[in-house]
Amino acid sequence: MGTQEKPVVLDVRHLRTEFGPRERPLVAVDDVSFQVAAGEILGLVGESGSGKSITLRSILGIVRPRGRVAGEIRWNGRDLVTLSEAQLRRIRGREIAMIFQEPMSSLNPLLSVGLQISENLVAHTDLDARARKARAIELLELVGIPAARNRLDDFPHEFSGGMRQRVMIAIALASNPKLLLADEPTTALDVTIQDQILRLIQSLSRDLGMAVILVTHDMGVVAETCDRVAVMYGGRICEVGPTAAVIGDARHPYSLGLLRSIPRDVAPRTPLYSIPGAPPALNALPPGCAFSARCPVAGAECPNVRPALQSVDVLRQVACHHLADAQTHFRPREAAQ
Amino acid sequence: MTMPASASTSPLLSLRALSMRFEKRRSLSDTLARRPQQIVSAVNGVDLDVMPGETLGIVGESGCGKSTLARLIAGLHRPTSGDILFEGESVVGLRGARRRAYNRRVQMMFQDPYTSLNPRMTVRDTLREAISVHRMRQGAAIDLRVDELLDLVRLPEGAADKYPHEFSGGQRQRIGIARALSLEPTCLVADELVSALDVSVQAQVVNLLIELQDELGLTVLFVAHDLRLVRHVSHRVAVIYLGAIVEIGPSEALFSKPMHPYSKGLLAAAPSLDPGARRRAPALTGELPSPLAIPPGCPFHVRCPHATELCRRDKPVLRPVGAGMTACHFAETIGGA
Repeated sequence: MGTQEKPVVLDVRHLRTEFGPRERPLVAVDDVSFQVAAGEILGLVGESGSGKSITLRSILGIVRPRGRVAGEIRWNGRDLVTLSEAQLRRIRGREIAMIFQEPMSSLNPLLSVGLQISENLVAHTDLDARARKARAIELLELVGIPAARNRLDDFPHEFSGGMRQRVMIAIALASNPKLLLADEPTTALDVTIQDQILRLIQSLSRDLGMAVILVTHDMGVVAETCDRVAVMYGGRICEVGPTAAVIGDARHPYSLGLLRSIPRDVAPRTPLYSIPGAPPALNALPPGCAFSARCPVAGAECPNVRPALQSVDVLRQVACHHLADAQTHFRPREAAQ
Repeated sequence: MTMPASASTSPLLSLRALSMRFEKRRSLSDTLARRPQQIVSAVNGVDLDVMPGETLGIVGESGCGKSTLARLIAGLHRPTSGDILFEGESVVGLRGARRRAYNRRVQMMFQDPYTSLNPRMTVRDTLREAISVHRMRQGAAIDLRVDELLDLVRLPEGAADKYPHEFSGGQRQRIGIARALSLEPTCLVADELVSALDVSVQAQVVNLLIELQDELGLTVLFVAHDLRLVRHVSHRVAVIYLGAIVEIGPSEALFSKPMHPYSKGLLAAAPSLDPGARRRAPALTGELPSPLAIPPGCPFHVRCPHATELCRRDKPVLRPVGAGMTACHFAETIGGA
């Protein structure tokens, strides 16, 4: 895989984020480790409550002060976990930028779009007013907003949902970040507009060499956009590897079940595979494997002994005690379809 | 696969040139400046027959009028013009007991189960209310029916005396289904029934819907934006663009070989699970034009890569092409390509 040759820009080790009282903490992210290389798009996929968004937010420290972050987040030779709020503020938006699901609620409705881009340029660059305006137009053109020059004075409500997300991306790009954190950037958009935004993120990552972490719940988005994917469940990574390998040949029972429940190549109106039960609450996670309560191949030890992420081939790691059973459990169904 | 009743039977529901226009509220400055009244054309002359026992999928981008269409059928709006026939009888002007009888037989289910259930009423109260208002059962038979319904949608025992907040999203959606079924309807209108649910839970609800439909012989209008799910549950699918049907046909035929350029683009934009099928360019450029100003001629011509002078001038009518009907001047040449 090409990404191994590129330098790793972000190295997250044993990340743990918890909320609530210290004696009975709610652990949203539990012992999560991953790396992202320059120009790479890493997908974090999982259901609501799986900890994917909190992982993303922990990187920039925006879960503080209520959340407690532990572990290591290596960025440019520094550990972001140990930085103070003031030090983090210099990194946020400048080196690492973030975009959110709801562009309308993250844009200021009372300021023109041009002003909001300039704000970021004032904060992070030395450009003068004239250069800032030119750069703002350039950024809006880069993200594909037609007639960018005329739209600088428009307010967020004058843009459509897809265009607002493009504006958000333009603001994020203002400081030439090395890493873009995208938290469900297309979930509120139509498939046609989602497609446009994803293609945009892909081309920006390719052309600017920017690393991207894309949080999504949609395996289709991962398949179409990401180079590598980490599947999260109950605050932990249960499987990580190159996108094609994980989607084409999943190993963890959760990834297998998740992919199986998406209708593809099945006869119409036949029952879809569904994972029994519902995702666990944060205060009811077992000490062992988080998926054990819903897992079809769980053994007696699974709820008590946590499986470690182990390499199954060069680039892929899976956390499961019963890999072979999972393969045999899901294989015959495949043949039956 | 269970097929709906053959073509010889008469349709359960027929829409005839159905249109819905909303007048935009005029502000004082609009009145003073004598700007013309703005009108949102949400549904523009829809003709549609729905056969008994059939599942008709309705797809399109947000703002295309698919939800308005669903609400018109459920009687939540009164159409501006056109007619809705139910078992051959017009239901648009119905009042009193006959309106209530129609309302009972056509039930709507909504996207967000949290806002469509009364948070201060237990499940039993919610169902009892529906049953007693429509006098479906009397006295002690009501509670028996409540238990029967909860059993039907596979909610655990003891669910009846809980409040909506005590359930997960998937379970709340089951309560919504139970409430709709409590009136023993003939036709269900499902507006984005599973869109708010996690993928693994979606499959459970979709399986339940298909099962109940086959068991009770229900007709279902399945409005959704998830194309994979629509393909899976629907016998026929209608593609809506700016309030009009641009293509309608048997589900498999439409998904495997769309004839209208818009259907083609919409299907291509949906994220596929095949990482090998990546595109660099978006499948469909531009956005849905405002329903305040629908383009003349073919409403799709502004985004259509094949548009000609004819398309800008003449609005194509829905006509038989291949296995279904398509509203495009060049469906034969484009659809074949």
